[in-house]
Amino acid sequence: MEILVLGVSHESAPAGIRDALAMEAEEVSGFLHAISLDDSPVSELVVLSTCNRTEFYATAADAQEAGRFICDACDEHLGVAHIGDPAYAYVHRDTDAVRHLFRVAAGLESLLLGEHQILGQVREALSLAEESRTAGITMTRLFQGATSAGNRARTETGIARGAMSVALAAVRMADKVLGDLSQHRVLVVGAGETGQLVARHFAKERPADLLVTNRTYERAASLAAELGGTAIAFEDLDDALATVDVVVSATAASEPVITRAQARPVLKRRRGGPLVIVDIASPRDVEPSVGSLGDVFLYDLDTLESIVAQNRAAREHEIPKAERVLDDGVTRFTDWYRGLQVTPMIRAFRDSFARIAAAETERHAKHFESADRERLQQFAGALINKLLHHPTTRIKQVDRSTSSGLATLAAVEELFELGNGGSGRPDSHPESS
Amino acid sequence: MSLLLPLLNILLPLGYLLAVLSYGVLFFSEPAWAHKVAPRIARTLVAIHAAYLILEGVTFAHVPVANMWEAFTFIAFALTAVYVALEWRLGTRTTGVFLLAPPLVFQIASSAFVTHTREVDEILRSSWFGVHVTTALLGFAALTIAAVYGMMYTMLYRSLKRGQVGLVFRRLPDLEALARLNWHAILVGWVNLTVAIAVGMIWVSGLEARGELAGNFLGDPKFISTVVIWALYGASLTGRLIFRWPSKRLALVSVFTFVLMLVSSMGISLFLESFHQFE
Repeated sequence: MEILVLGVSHESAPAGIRDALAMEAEEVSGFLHAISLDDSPVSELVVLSTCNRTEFYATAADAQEAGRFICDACDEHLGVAHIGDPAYAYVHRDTDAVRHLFRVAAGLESLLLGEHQILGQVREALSLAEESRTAGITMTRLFQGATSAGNRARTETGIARGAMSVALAAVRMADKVLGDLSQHRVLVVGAGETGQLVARHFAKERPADLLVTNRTYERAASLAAELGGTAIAFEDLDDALATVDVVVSATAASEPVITRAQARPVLKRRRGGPLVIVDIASPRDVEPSVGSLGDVFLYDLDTLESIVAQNRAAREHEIPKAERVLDDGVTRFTDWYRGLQVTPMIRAFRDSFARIAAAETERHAKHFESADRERLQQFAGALINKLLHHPTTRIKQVDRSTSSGLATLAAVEELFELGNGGSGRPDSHPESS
Repeated sequence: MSLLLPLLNILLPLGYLLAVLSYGVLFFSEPAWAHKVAPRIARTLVAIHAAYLILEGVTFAHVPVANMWEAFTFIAFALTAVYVALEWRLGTRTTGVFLLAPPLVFQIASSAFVTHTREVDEILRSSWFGVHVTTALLGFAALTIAAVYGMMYTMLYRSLKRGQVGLVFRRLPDLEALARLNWHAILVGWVNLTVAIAVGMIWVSGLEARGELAGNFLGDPKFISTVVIWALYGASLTGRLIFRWPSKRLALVSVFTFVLMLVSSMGISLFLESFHQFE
């Protein structure tokens, strides 16, 4: 039984093809219910569909046949014929397929390195397949292992650390200067599109007060109402500056809205404590020299973009560490999967020895007192366990994806006559064990 | 017991070195194991150090702060105990490398130069001495912590002004929290120092009046330098309260004054005659 993944992503296919394959949760459920895995070459199937990737994870005795089955199903039920086109799609098998899912879950394959959303999407993909009864023991274990490793990669390494957008970077900088933002007052200058975006990020931190000002008062009032803040007249800007701890400025003004000459007397009126000014306007709303005033922390668009770039570089630097965490999870899963694959063979192997032991103890039982016969059976059982421990462990470790691994298993079958009747064949369906 | 004290005297600086290294690893690369190991080392160190001080006191039959080198190991213990309590209370482990570095220096100096004696001056058995020395050392420990927080504040301030989000940004608490810790540590240190100076002056005046101590403490270099240091800290507290000094200035003053206190204290002990040298 092989594990394979067939899919398209932002790295392999243009947006048009990705969009055609992208499915909402209900559509994934519909697709999984529509196809029948009975009498198909696919044993288990999970569909992971996000805005940047659609992937089909399957277990099958024959990967090529399974691939064709998935392509036909996409053509029939989604009306998309491109999924099998090597120009757009990729296929990974066995350990490569497992590693791919683990990387996806950790956000290493995401457009935004280390993003969190994908972890929930991986969980949801498994949940939908379980509801549709297309996920069995292998897919369940695989997806659970991937989410667990994805979580570990995020908590044990810096792969998900640091803000990756200008708006979030502004919030993080204010947070690092002032601490808990719920204890501080925020002023938003300018209620345009950019101002709204950053203001919403600050509003999520539930500041003690959120003031909004704009040259057109009605727009300020509208944004303040949406964010649960207070609108103030643009003429009251100086007074407001003296009472707030964070200023977000994003007007469309061609001249600076906050000048050094204006800021100096305002700062003297403040109770003390730092003032964070986020200037995301272009051209700038705040004179750069304001940043050199004591206790003023000025972050303009260039600085915030540089912070995002620093965070991105820091995340990229953490990729090898995250990969080591994922390798651990991949090894655990593949060890378990190999053990599962050879379970029928191991059972046949142990049964054949147990039969010999039972026959021999029966044959020699007459030479022992009845009280000792039970001890004889225990001895025989213990001896068999000791003798078979090492070979059993080695069989579990055999890599079936290599020709030497397959040759080893064939030799075991040949030597111990396990191949008859099919129960001992490693190719038997794992779920039958 | 006679072998245990010299053994602990060697083991303690090694223990502090191990603690600083493990907290250093925690600060720079933050591996999961360091989050468990470093705090355990610090807690074990506090327990061992407490045992060392008790053993020292019992063996030599006096409070183990009779000379500067004994005082240094007491300060190292006080600083580490305060840090372990702070870590337990606040849950912040990434500042350990900064707060345990001074105890390491104090303990190395103490272990290298300490000399023990059973014979101490009778006046050092006075309860005045106990209050004077305890408050002085507690004040010194608090001002050391203030200097460390002041240094951390300055590092983070520079990083935030420049929009750098490296190690300092990621590992240190927020700037306002560091400012509060710096301020409170200075306040606690200054109050203790005030009590130590006042108690010392009253006690020594009485001793001089009764002829039990020769000389004039007002001309003592240790006394003069301590009063100057006390005045500098007092001025910075006044600057903050009355003139609204920014946190950055307070942080810098706390670092500068601490260095001055350290240099003057060691300089006087090594090169000048002072009645504060008890042996």
